[in-house]
Amino acid sequence: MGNLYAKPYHDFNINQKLSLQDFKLLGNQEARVDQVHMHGYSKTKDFILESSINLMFTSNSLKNIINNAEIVRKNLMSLNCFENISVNIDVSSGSNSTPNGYKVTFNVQELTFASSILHSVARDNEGIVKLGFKLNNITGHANHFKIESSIGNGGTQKYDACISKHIPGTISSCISGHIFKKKSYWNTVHGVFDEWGTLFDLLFLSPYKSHFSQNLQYEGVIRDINMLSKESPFKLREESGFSVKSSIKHITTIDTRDSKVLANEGVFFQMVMEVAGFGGDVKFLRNYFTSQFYSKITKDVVFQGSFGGGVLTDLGTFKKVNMMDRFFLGGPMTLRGFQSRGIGNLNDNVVAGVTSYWVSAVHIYVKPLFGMESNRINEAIRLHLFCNAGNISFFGKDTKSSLERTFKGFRLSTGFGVVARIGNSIRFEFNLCSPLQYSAGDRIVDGFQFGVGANFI
Amino acid sequence: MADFKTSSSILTKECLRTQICGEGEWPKNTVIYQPYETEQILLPDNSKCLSVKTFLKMAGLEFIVEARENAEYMSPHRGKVPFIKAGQFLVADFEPIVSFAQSKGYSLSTSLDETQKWDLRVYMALVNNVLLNAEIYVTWNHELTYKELTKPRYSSVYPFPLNHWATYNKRREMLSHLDVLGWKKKSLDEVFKEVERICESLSNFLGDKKYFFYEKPTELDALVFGHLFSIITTPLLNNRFAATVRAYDNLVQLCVRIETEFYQSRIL
Repeated sequence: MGNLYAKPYHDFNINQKLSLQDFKLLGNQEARVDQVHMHGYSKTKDFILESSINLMFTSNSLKNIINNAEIVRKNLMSLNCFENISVNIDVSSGSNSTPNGYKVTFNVQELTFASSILHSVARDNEGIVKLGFKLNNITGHANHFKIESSIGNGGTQKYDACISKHIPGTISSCISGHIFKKKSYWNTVHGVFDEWGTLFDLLFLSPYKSHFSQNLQYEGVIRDINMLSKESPFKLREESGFSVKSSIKHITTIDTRDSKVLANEGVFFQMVMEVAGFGGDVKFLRNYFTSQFYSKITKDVVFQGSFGGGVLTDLGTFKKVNMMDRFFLGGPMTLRGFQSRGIGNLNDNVVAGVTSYWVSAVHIYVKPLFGMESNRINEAIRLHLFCNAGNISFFGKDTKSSLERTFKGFRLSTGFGVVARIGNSIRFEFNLCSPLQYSAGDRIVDGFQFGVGANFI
Repeated sequence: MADFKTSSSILTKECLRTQICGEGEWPKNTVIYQPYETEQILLPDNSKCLSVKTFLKMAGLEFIVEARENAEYMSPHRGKVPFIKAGQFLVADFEPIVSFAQSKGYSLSTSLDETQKWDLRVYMALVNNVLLNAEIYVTWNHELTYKELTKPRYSSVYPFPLNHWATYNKRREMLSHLDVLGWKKKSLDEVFKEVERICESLSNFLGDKKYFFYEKPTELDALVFGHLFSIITTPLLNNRFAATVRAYDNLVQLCVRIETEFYQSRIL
């Protein structure tokens, strides 16, 4: 948060401290912004900032001014050009001032030209350390360049070079292009996945309501599947070798949660639609979504309900979609009580990744220091009780039987454990799980299970 | 569940052991995987596939041939084709397949005495070292052949940009293989001289015999047939490679003999 100062209107006594009531009165009073000043930037071009700042001139009351100032501050921060921004609101004086006029000053501090990257993220049950460097605001048009390498504790390696540019406007957007090389492992079947690819991403953010965003992506990637062991299931081995995916992806995200990891209230919904087959040799249509709903039952108890699912339609004739495209279910952050990708019999000649799935969860979170005011422990750690259900299936032509199969023999597990939050995006879980319903061939975890990640159900 | 799991894993181990030790049980539905013959396969791979198929036919072992465009990536030893799937076992390349069959009690060289067995091993190593490398040299290192034949064939199964990428990778791998063995710097003439020399020694060893070791075919016959037959029948830019081999009449006769005896359908 920037510093927010408000000086009283002429009629008030300057020395007197404002009471809340006065402030409310003042807030609703008609006001206009006469001047907006920006201090402290040298490299950033004016027109990049203008469109964000224009919002200030639409405000009509002091309350409005304060709200808009915060939005503008957030928008400016999202340009990734500034280290911090403080806001100063004052009555305007001088010859050009109007009776209800205000003057808003943004004091900004620009990021240095080059800086290093060192931070950790979590993905797919793996903690990842990122190292690299970035060049900020190269030409002053809010364009950035970065190179980073990531190494995860499960062996995942990723090298990524990214160039991005913000385009300010009423719909603020960000274009970025990536070139990456990734190596990941699936240890249960001794599989190594190599990827070399490019990704172009167009992100649209509605600037006034930052919880709604859309991404339009193009991804062209060469994939290589290598099965290292002779014990890898032969069905998976048959898919090894090179393939090219060229796809367009659309991601819609609505996120009104108050925290990304341990929310108290809010809704999260993400829908991904992907069409592959613009060149390349795999063709498919893939849709999947995740939704989370949070509600506070009492001050210390939070309810979470989640549901997700996906369908993949193979459009290919000669070459089929392979295991890098299909869905896998199971893992400590999705269907707890099962190993990562642990659902479905691998030796079975059919189930090696599926074309449709659904998964759901119900959580009851309790703050560990019951009844106490919010403090650090209550913010970072929660106890939870969960119940997971989900299933994998192959969608056939016959809708009725497909629907029956979708729910026949679904997997069910329950348990309790501790959830912790590290930073604002990493979630740790340590659970005692008990799978209640499962099929032969599922790789279950009956006991303690540890999970780390950013996406969860 | 835990009890079931351990008992089942013990059972699997037991199964494996009986499969390893069980003699005289060639697994049914043995499949041999190889690249597509007409549009994809290259000379070195073709020779090896033919050698393996000939060996299995000579030993009277049943198999089904399956062509896959990613056969070399499916192989348990990446890049080596063909490979066989016999029951639960995956075995790649000629010599491991021969020793796998041997472990099952199928061998073509049991009747040989010690010195003959040594001869067999020496000549097999020679064929692998010279003929195979010469084939790799011609396919990947000879610029014109690479451009005109190897690249279009190898990349035929891939879309853009993978056709360039995969071929480039494969070529780099093959060239480094040749480099390690000291073949990369050789000229084409030197390579053909090597081929000539081995053909000569094979020809002398064969003499007027029906097979290398008198009346019955051995692994060496299968290997030599696979290579020579491929070299003779594969169309290359010029027929110098084939002509070098064709100069040795008794070797060609050996190929014809094996061909008529084990592959009735084809004509040399």
